[in-house]
Amino acid sequence: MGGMDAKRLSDKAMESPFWNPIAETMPREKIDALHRHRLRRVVAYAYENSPHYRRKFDDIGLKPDDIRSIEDFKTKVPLTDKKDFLAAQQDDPPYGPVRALPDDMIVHHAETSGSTGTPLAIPYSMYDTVRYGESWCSAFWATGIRPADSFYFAFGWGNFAGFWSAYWGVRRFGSRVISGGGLNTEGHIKAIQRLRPTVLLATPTYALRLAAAGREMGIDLADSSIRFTMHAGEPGPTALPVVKRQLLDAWGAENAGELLGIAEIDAFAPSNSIGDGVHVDEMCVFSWVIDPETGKEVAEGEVGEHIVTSYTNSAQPLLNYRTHDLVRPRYSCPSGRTWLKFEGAVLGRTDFMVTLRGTNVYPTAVENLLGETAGVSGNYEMHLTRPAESDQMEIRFEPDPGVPEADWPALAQAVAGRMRDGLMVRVDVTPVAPESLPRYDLKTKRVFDHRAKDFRRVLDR
Amino acid sequence: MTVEERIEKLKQARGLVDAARRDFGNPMIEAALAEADMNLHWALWNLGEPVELRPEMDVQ
Repeated sequence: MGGMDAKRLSDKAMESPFWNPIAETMPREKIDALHRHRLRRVVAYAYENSPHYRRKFDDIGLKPDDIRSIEDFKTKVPLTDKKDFLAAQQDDPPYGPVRALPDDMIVHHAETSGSTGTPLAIPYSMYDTVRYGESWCSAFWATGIRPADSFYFAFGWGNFAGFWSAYWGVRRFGSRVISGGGLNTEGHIKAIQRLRPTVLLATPTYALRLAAAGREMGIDLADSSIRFTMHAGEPGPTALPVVKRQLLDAWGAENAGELLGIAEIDAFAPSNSIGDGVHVDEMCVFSWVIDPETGKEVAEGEVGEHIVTSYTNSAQPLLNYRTHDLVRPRYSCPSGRTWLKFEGAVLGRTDFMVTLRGTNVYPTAVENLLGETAGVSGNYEMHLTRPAESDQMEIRFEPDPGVPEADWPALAQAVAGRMRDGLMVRVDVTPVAPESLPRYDLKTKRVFDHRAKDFRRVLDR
Repeated sequence: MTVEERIEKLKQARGLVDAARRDFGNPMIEAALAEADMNLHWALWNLGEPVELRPEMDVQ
């Protein structure tokens, strides 16, 4: 296998600490100079090729030549949102007037998961598929994976964009693709035993579910061939240290990495070698972070909403796109990557972040605190209500199956205390029977907001 | 070889690929060379060269 590596990648390349050291350690001045050039070009491209953008710009009297700087781009190009594009697509399905390439250049169709409503259709050109895969390679390399590794996709394919980009990335990386296709959980476990892949690609929740199912089958997947786990689609090992520990324990893995992506934008933010965040691949996208209430850019280290523009989806350009992801931006990192870093990956969602009696509560913080409590499984739900004049939150969690039911009240008390100390706010805590909460193969639903619409944030309505 | 020299080689390679591909009339070879040019463009893009957004938009 080493010989094959030597044919495709030189010994010198194999020793590189980064998949693309020139791009991943590019000085900030050079990155910004590229953004100035590329933002001007992507604005001109959208205006010239997408009827949606031409109309949008014409409506406000904006011409591509008006964009001469990064600041111009931030302040003059309107923010866009998924609902704008969904409406346009519904008027003229499947892609509507946003599309910027002719039909014969669309080689792949995918859709968002529809977890927040109607799926958004996503067209890709051949080049787009190549570019969507590239950032995965940076994540693979940083995690310690090399082309001689082999990837098992515990993924049902279909039109959900999800791990298609990972597939394009693995092909680019030069590793073996092993598709789990339409297998069920038991089938995946048997395939992993038989085919001996070294990397598991799955959502974090499903990776843990596979391990639990293996135990029920009498198979400890910590003894399997898997050496690395890679994730997307949910808060993963860089957002949730507890989940990382669970993944490494469950699979006996050396490392776990992840990639933050947004199906309609790109698979754009690979985790780094130290596992404390993801970095925006600034060759593929331009990102900045705003206060979602005021629209003003936040300072480094402050939490805000990620706004992103893709250079890589030429079939459906999306400019200044509101992600609703809450992130903490950093411009330096001990890993050596100079790309904009989101410390702890995505901290929450503007539409999921819960403000409870004046305190912001992020689902990731709840999950980390649950994971720190012995006897508590990773399966939980957050339920928001407003029974009187004050918001209430109930956390329903499953105790580990080995915890006797008689011990559940004490466990709930311990969880409540940890939540109070960690979140600085009192929440109700209810243990529920193991395996009673619903399981999801893709995006796991954690937050259930039962409050009347008027009591939610504007963005949540 | 310096990075700048490698970039120059990549640009030359795009010119050679374009010359071999243009008006050939062989679907297989034209498709293969279109992908070759796409990959050369992507290499230049990721070396920080100010190329166009898509390879066919660059004037060869």
